[in-house]
Amino acid sequence: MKITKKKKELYFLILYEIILVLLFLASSTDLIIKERQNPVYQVSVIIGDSNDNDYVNFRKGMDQAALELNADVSFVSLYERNHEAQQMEMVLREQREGARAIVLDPVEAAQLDRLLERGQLEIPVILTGASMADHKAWGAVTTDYEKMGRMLGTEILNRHGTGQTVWLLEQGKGNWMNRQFEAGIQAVLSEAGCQAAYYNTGEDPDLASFFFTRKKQGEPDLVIACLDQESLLAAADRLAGSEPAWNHLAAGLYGRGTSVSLLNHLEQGQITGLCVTDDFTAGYVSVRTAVEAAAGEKKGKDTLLESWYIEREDLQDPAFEKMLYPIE
Amino acid sequence: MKRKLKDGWLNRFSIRTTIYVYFTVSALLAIMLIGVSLYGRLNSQMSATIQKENQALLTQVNRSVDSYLRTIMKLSDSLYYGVIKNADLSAESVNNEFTLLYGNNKDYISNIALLSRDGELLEAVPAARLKPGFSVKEEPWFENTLNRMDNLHFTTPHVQYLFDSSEYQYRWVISLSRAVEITRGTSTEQGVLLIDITYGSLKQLLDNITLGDTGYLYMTSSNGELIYHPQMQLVEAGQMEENLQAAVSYRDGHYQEVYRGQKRDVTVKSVGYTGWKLIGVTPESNISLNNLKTKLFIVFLIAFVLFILVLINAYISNRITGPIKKLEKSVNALEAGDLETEVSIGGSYEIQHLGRSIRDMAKRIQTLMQDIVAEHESKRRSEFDTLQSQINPHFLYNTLDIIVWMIENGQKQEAVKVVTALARFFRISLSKGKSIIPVRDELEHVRNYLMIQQMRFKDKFSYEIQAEPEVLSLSSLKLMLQPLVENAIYHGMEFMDGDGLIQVRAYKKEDSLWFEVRDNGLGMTEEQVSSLLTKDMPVHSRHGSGIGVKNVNERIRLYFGEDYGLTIQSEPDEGTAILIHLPAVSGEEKPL
Repeated sequence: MKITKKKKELYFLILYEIILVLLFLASSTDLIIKERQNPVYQVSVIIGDSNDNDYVNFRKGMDQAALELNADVSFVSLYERNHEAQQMEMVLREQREGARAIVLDPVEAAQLDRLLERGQLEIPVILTGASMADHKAWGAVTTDYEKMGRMLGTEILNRHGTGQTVWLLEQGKGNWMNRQFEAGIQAVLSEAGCQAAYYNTGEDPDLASFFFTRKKQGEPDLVIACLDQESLLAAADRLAGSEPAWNHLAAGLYGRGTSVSLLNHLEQGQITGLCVTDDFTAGYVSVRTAVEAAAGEKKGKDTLLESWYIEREDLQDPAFEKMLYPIE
Repeated sequence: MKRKLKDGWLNRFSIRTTIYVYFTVSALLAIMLIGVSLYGRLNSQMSATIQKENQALLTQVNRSVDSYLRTIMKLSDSLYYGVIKNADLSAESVNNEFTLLYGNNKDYISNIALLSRDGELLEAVPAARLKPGFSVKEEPWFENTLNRMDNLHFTTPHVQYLFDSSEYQYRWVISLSRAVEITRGTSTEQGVLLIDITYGSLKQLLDNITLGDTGYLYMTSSNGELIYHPQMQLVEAGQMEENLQAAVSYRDGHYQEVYRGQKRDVTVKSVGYTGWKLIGVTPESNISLNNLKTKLFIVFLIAFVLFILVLINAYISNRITGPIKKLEKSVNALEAGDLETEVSIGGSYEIQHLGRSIRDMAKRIQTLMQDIVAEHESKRRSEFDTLQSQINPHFLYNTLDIIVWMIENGQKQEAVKVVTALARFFRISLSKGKSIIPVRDELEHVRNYLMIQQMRFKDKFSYEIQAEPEVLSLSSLKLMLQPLVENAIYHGMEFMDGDGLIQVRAYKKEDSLWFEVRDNGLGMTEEQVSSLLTKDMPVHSRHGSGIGVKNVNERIRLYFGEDYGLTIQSEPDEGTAILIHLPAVSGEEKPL
């Protein structure tokens, strides 16, 4: 069927009018092109501790991300430190109260897997201090703690040689981070033929018994690597304590952490060396990842953050200064 | 060649399309030109306005920072010239004055300290002691202060690690130091006055200042170290980047840069004494005219105006070309030969004038054609008239020959008859020059002719003339029957031996007048019959009148119309019958 010229003109006019209407709708209404919405994403950050002393820098990064990404971030600590069941209750409570994503520093990540398997948890979870490879979370923002342990093990060997036993201190039952960190240290020490001894401070939280026993046994030059921040702080506090004789008990006290108290101990000399991470960045990236998850982006991945070994003199290095003491 | 191509291309379109396309393209170009220049102008004006506003805001912030720093410098002056210079530190303490001044300014001062040249802490407010084992003398700011004693020295933000503190806290400060003269008894020595400015108080001045939706402001030292940035920690952590390298090279003014694929306007302003730079950054996407919706709206406006113009153009081109199209139709009809067609006259003056010209031309053509037809007919008639006025001289010679022969043979009576018949024959032939004569005269004419020929052919044939009385007065064409009778004689009777018969009948049937010329002669073949009606030559030119059968037929049609004329029926050896069909009109009525 041949289309006449008049019909062609008519079709052209109709098409043109449709384009005009579409252009009008696109340029002057929200029907086609929606103005960029700025939704507020409710994100809950649940830690495994009963206080946020070790999360000061993390919280600063978290707040920065909340400000930039328009997120409403709730920071939740437990009533009792390292209480798995309580943490899972908190997770479910936050879900009920409208959290769109959760950043979780898990006491026991396997518990989270069970919640996810049972379908009780429907919102994305971003792990900190645990790897996504082993769990079913949406994403993870963590550090390679084994690498960190190897780094510390190497520094210990460099300073003290292989002749001394390295005491590995830990408070409580520990977690994935501690295990990874320990595995790193142990690997380096055993490769060098250096002996390591494990001591759990569970029954001896202020380490009085530990140091007393070591002193009694005539081990004045202890080399201690603490697997967690609690045992490190306890050891540093003990060494900085009122008994001057104890000050010289440890030839080297090492560990990991970035809390101000630990940094003060490093500056004051009780701690010899510290493995540190950029907690501000960790907090920032965790919340940013949580917002991405809440916005429905595709599944995330393990984000591995860098770690460094520092000693007292590094504290005034501008780069570490800004990393460890975030600007307020 | 190009011109030819262009002309050829244009010739393919109608005048309406050409006008339409030219108008629309011109309008589109005009709109685009206006649109683009307007957009450019608005955009640049908006950019200029934003630049001005940014500049004004930056100037305002600069004043605030400058005033803030001057307040601290004044405090430094007060401490030095009002307290330290007048005091003998070996005899008195300046702690009260320091505390007083610190108390007045503690919102933005973290601590005040006076140090000796050797790095000994002489006074500190709030009370503090240097960290054990920490040597102030080795600090770069301390060395700088003593090396350049006239200046006040500002550091970049740093954590104050000078003083021993049992608090699990750290403080970010900007240190202002100056060399001072300390009096101790009779001796004077150099010292350093240190004022730590709380970083937070400076940050407060700069926080929450935005330039547009996404623009921001930051501050660097003269060598590019970051002093303030809304995302300072992220920049330091490498989570985001800032164009600090370019910022160092900028002097006060306005710049445009492309950083990480983003175009941005940068305004730079130096902060008085310190040489710090305040830098305002406005991404170009922040300018609302660059917004996708604004761009689409401009496209919509252009498209809408174009649409209106297209409609107007269509109306105008129709108004112009409508009358031309009608005129074209009229011309097409004229071209097809319809000179009576109504020529459309409308539209603008020129087209009306053209229409009138074509109409007049058509009329003139019509008149001319009528004239030509009339002239042609007139010419034909005069030809026929000339022809019919001629009597074959042979006929006259033969007739006269017969008359002479009759007189010589004493057949006077017959001679008188022939002469009388010849006279009457010629009288009717002339008929005062008329072409249309009554049937009666025409029959009389043919009777005379037949009588003469009968005498001449010594009664080889006989003839009969019959006519209904009512047809005698009807109009007939002069010399119409004589050529037919002549044809019958020469074709049919010449070789007959007294039994030839020629019958002439005239009768009326309905509205027609009929003549029939019948002979019982030799008859004719079909070819002869058809040649009789097509050839100009008379049947027997040597003996006849010279007026052919064909001419008779043509004359009848010329005078009475195409519906009339001759019909010949003939069979060899059977004879011939010629029928003449004429309208039955009386003598008074004129033929065509």
